[in-house]
Amino acid sequence: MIKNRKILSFSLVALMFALNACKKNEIIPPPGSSTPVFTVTGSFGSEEIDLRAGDENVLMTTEITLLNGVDFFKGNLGNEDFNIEIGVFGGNVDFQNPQVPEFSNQSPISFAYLAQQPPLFQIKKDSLPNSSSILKVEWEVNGVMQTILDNLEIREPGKYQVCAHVTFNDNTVQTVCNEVIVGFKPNVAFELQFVLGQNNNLMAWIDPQIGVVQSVKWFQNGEQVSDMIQLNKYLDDGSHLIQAEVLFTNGVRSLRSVLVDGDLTGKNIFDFSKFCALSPVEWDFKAKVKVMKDNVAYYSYLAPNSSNQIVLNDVQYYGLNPQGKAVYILKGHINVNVKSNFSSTVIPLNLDVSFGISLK
Amino acid sequence: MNWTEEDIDQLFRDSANQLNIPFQESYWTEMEALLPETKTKKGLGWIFGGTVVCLALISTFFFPENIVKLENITTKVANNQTKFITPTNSVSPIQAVEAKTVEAKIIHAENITLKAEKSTKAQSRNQIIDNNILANSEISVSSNETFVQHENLNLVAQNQIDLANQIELPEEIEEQFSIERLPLLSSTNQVTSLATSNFKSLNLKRKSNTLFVQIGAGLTESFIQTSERNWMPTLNIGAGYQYSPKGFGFTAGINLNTTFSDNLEINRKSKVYNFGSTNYEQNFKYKQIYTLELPVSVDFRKDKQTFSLGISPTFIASSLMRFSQSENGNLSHDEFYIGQKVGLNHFGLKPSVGYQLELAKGWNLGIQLQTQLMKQVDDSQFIGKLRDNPLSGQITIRKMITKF
Repeated sequence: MIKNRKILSFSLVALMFALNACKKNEIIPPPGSSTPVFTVTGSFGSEEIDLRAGDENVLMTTEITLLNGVDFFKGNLGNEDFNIEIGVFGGNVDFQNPQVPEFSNQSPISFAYLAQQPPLFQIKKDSLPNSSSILKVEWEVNGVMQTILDNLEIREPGKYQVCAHVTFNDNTVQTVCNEVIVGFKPNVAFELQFVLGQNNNLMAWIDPQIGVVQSVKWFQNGEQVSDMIQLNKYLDDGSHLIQAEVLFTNGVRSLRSVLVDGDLTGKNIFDFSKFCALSPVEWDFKAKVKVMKDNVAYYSYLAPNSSNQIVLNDVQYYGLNPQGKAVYILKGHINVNVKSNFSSTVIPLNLDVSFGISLK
Repeated sequence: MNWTEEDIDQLFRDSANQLNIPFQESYWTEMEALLPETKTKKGLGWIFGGTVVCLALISTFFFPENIVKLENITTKVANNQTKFITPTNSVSPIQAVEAKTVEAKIIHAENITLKAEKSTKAQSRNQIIDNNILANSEISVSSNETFVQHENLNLVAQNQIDLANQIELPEEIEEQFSIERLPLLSSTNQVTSLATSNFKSLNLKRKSNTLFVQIGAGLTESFIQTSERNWMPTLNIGAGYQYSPKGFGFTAGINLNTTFSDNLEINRKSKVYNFGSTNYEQNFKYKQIYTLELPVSVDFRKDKQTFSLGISPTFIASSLMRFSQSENGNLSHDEFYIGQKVGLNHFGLKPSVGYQLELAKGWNLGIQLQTQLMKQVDDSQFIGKLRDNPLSGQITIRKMITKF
């Protein structure tokens, strides 16, 4: 009997083990639920806004785009019905590596504003020194040919690559391209000037208005010919593309081009970027808000916002977006006016935001 | 000299053959009237095999040692104290075993019986032996022999005869041990009586301790509240120990219960917000749930009816379920699993009331109503409404396998 009991007890224990020791494939529980990360709540005019990324098909996207050649660090939160875009421009755009916005000091961010005002950049053929030798000028801005001949107007801030396709009176066409920065604070300002003597001796130099020139490299038709501050060079007949790569003491490096006529017939193209006068508009590190509602776009830079700001309470690193860019969460409050291109009505936007913005 | 069972049996046979006592059919008729119905104990089927395992627990924890232990009671009877009922001229085969000390192994809980077991049958047969025959002999009272007969000593022993059962008495008598005479056959082939004064030291009791196995089937309410009242069929198999004297007793056992479900579906969802959100959903469709139960009850027996009130701790041991997982609606996983208990609470507690009716000797039919006090579904992982205290009922067939 005792032996039987031992056997039975052992069997019972074995049964218990068998019940619990069956191989079990592990089921990994899903991650725990969380609360919305990116939110915008407040009002758009008289309309209540409550956007939460992850609900009602609302998504938060972030990207760094080039807006008129300038880095624009933006985020976009919304769905098909309502969408709000908040972005901040970079600054010091004339540097080779423009500066990204810094939110660590959590200082208020002003809004970019572009009032109906004269163009930020304007060139008229008649204002060119050798306009009498020019039949027409076709302007190309950032690779896009402008429809208007002879005169060029740029109304939005940006860093543009402007090419002048000049047709002279003898129907020869020459092209010169230069970088034009408008609406952003320049760290340097200069003009490439030249004089071609009767003996075809070219004298070219840099005339700085802002900044101190550290060094200059001179190129003739793409080949470096000098690294002196001033270029003295005998030119053969024909047109010569003279370029100066100027390095300023503050680190700004700029390339400027002119076309010099070795035939002394006046078929020159001067440094037209000198017409980039200092603008009252500076969009460095300024914010821009865009609201899309019912397929109508409302922009903050079209409405007066001189007294409005983005007040940040907290800035946190969140992670990488699908493009691998670092995303920061800006938490704060926004008071801004927006306006559409098709209406004079200014709509106030009052928002509490927890918003994502990509930085490099 | 050590006497084996075969030796003793052979001794009985030889003695019996030497005797010349005319056989009368009436002996058997008389005896058969006294004997209980012969029954053959069939081997337990495999269906009970698993439950026998469970028996170990019961035997370990509930067996009173003084009941299960076979005590070797050494009865030394002096030669001069021997009192034979048989005629003096009779030749006793046992007397041939001279100068031996009588040592009888007696099951203490039983009458003074000689246990004659038929090797091919599991049930023991008891034979009453006049204690006089023990004189001058040493007998190991255990035999597998089928047939034992010894007229001289008024020993009435026959295959499948259990005289101990013959003397099953009304309970009130049993408990008072008020047996005065026991029937025995004399050498003159007449039924005589044996003074029970010789049995004063013997303990005559009704067999109240029982081991049993049982199977059952029933229905239990769904753990989850649905628009319709859903019931899940259950099957169980178990074993246990029952102490069932007249009046109050108790039962303890172990059951392996299987619940078949078609609507026990647990969904585990989570929503993780990021640039949008990711919706995770895990779905567990439990098809079968295997539960280990340890029922304990207080019983009240009256005649063939037993009423019980008990409680049963339960432990969900395993399951068979279909698991599927999706991420933002895209199915990423779908397969059957064994052994998972996700979303289930392991432990439970089920009070119960029950009723049992003895249909035939050793066979009971029972009905039991239970409710689960503890939630079997982990509501922290379940989105939905759980049923409080789901009811269950089952019908059981209980087979008593051992009485002692």
